[in-house]
Amino acid sequence: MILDEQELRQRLTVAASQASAARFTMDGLISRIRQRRARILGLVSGSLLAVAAIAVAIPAALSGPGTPTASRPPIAPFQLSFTVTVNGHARRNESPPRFTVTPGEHLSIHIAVIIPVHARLTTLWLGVTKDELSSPGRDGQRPPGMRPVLAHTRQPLTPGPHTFRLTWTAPAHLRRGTTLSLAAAWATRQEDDRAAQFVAEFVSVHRASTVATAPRRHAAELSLRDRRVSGRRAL
Amino acid sequence: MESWKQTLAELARNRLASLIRQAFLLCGDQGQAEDLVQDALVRAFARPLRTPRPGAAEAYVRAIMVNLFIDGARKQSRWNRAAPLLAGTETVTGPADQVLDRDVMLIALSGLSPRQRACVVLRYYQDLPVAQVASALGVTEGTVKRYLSEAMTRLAARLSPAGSRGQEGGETR
Repeated sequence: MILDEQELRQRLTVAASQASAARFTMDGLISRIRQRRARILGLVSGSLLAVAAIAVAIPAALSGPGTPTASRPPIAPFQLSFTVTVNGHARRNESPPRFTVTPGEHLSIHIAVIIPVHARLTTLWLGVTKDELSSPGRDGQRPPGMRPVLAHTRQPLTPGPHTFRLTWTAPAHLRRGTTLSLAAAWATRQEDDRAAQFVAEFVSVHRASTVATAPRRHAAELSLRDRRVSGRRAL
Repeated sequence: MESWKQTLAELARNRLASLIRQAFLLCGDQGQAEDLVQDALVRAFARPLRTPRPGAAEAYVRAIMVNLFIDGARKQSRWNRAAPLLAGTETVTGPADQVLDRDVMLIALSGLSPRQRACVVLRYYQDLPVAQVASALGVTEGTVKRYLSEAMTRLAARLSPAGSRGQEGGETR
């Protein structure tokens, strides 16, 4: 049998007429379209962001560590070099130098510090602390835990040597074996660049017990107790 | 109102029934036809950068519809091959057995492959020239002619009085 095309068209039209009207609503259709558009837009924007991130990351990774990305020049952290003399005695082989003190002893402290060439100190604090090492506050406030403060510069320190003459009386109620520290804290011209460092340690000893057991050099230090020292700051 | 909504509203107002009828011929089922039209409309209008122009929206949606039908039929074919394995010894009936009371033409169309069926619908229901049918299906004109020739032979066999009796008696392809 040969099927006539015209007859086929008629039969198809009759068959298609069996279809009834659509039962879905336009609102539902528009909602589906919106959801799909949002998904496509999300995928496209995510892909663009990923491409942009890769485009930034690859050159940065290839440039190597030699190219700094920050606009601010890096500041190398530095330590200050202190030379401490207490009542005329120095401890050059110890870092930090360790001195013995007796409760109520008056000490004359001479500190020489060398500011490195690249450093620009805006403020420097010297004082006694128990065991904490803390840097100055953001607004030039005293380092917490430093009490008493023996010296505080209010003008920037230029690179080079600086000397300080300080006096301090060890607390009368110090227990034997207690360690107090002489500390320095400073800030530089770079924001948030603050640091602190131990300068010396004071170990409390009692005169009677120390004389019996301490080495000869400690006995010599104890003789400093009776000296009258009147220090003054060289600022 | 956004431009794509205007185009969609106009298309739905004037041509939705025609789209449903074409989808019905392709699927042979009212529910599947509506799903097919909805899916085609969603795909056509969901592309933010390629929203169809008002004059070309209908042809665009029809092309998407035919391709969705062929893709869906391919997936359904895979499922039909796997279903007997999952269903055990239960007998799987063909589409023709389930719609015996339907029009003979729909039964005859169900005996065609999806591509043959799409070619028949586009060529003899939509009255598209062979070149446009080939463009819509993404095949050459020669392939379309071959599909049409094979489809006409099968339909002739199905629509003949002997073929119709065979269908009513439960004959399958």
